[in-house]
Amino acid sequence: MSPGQGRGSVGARALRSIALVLLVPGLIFCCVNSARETMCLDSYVWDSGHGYKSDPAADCRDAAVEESGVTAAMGRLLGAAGFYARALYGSATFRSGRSRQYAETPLAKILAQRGLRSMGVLAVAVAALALCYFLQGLAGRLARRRSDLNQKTRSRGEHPGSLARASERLLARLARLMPPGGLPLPIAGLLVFGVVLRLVPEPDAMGNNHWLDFDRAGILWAGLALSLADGAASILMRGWQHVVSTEARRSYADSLSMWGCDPGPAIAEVSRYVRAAQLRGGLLALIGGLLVVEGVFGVDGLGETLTDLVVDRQGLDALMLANVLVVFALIVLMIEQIPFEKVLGRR
Amino acid sequence: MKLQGLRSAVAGRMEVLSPILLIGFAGIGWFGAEAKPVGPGAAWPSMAHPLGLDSAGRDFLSVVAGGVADFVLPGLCAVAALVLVLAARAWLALQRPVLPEGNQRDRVGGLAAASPPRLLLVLVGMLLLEEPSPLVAAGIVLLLYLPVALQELVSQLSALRQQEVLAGAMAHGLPLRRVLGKYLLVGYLRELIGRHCAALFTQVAFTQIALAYVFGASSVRAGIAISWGSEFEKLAPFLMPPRRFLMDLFGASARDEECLHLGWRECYGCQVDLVCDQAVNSFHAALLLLIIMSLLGGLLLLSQPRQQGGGAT
Repeated sequence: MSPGQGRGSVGARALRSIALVLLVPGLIFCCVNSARETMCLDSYVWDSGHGYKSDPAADCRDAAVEESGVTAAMGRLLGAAGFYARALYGSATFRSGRSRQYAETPLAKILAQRGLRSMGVLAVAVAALALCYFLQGLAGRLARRRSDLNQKTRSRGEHPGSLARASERLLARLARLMPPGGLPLPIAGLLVFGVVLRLVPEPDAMGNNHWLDFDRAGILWAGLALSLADGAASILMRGWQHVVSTEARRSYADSLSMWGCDPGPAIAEVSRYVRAAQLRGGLLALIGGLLVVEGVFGVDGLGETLTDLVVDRQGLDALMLANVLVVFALIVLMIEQIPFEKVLGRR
Repeated sequence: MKLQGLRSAVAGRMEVLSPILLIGFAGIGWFGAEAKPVGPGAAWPSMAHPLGLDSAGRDFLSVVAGGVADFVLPGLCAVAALVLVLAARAWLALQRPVLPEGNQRDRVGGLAAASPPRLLLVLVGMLLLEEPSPLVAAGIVLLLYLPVALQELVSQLSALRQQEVLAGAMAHGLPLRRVLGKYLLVGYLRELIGRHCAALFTQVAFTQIALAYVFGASSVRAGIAISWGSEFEKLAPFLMPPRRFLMDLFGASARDEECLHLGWRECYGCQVDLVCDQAVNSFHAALLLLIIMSLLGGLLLLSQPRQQGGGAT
């Protein structure tokens, strides 16, 4: 049984999850509304069929010069809480509403499209990391095999050929090769961006885009930049290797080896909690990086939506902000809840 | 003797030059000429303008030096706050110089907390302000970084308490201020504090550069339009050689259309008697990338533990 998995802790985890999904984004939303005067909640009206809709008659300039002070801030806080609760209720009952910016399209559809793009970037990043990890493992295995073969040759009193020695050294080096730790996101993004600008194929003579047009290439290359950046790859690969090699040196692993058993499954079982925590940490780091790479590559995803909302000084799109914050909280919750421990325990 | 000591400290550690260069750039930024257009357009380096002029006609050295101001002040504020918090924590430890029993417990979730989504949290913090402030961004980075520094400090202090160093110093009747200042902050903990200061400063600088890159300098700091991130955003497309040059290099062009035989200006599509703006921009993009990577990368290297010779990969 893992530490802290009693009945009480399950309840505490469920409570924390609810707080994360509902309260934290709500609190942020309320604070933003009380601190920034450009939210203009009055520009939305509730439609029982569609949820919140923008009200073209509302004048946000009057709202922006409202009286200031603690009482007014508290009033805005309460107003935001009501708006947030209603927006959440609308989203839960399939009435996500229409934001001010995109009055024609339901907000759920916009967020789903952008969320899918962001998931695409994340998936590419995770796939690149997984590929890197498995290639490193493969190189390690080949290096061991090559080393054993060379050892056998030496035991016969012969010298292994120069090619065999060179391949042993090369494979051993590849097995130790690690992705750069903490290559800063802007630099990783820009380096890849520079390459993308030149390598994305131009449209053909008829003006048709190549299958790898700039939009799709943006998702692909943003994912690659993301996998390089912010130390996520480093956390995962170095961390996992360290944990596994530490466990492999323990007495139970030695005993299993001496009895002719593969210690791998036991090591995977014992180390799964630590590796799962590392995986969660790496994924959280990737989500932070998503904001920058989406900005760099112009991927129209959730990260770019949030950065646009931060920059937008003219008038914060309140409905969009409330829903984007909830989506981010849901993603963090998803990372918390995926049973990585079970998956990683299977080796 | 002192010079020899300095030389041995610097030997093999080129990264110690990074803070010196950074101070130099900051000095030029504060006391040197303002980055204003002084020419009609881009120009190659000359005696008057050692790094040339950018496409807006500004002295590129002044632009680079002016961009340092974007992160030096918030970075130094964050570092000062970190030193104060670490000093306060060390002072608290001195109140109980002997290690109490049974306080060594691993905290659950520490690994996930080691890499919080920094930029996401900075953005959420920025949402609360009408005008985004670099000091607020630095404050959030500091808050996220503090647990890491405090954790190492606590572990070092607990080692000192286990070795009864602190109890010994107190038992000898040394005043608390002297133990804190001379023995801890400038003595046992000097290397740790230096490392964490370098790491935090680098994190703040990278965060500012990232924010300026994504939003543009005017959004990060109202009124001041120079920052490394926004300058790099303008220059990034010139980082790679032109497509014609690459096509020639890989043999994709017809023989009579190869620009390499006609001179590099042909590859950029520039005229012979005019300054080639694109080539100057490429030079500036590469230069700025080199400066960012070498200065801040050097600071990152400074924040690595020193005595781990062959261990690090």
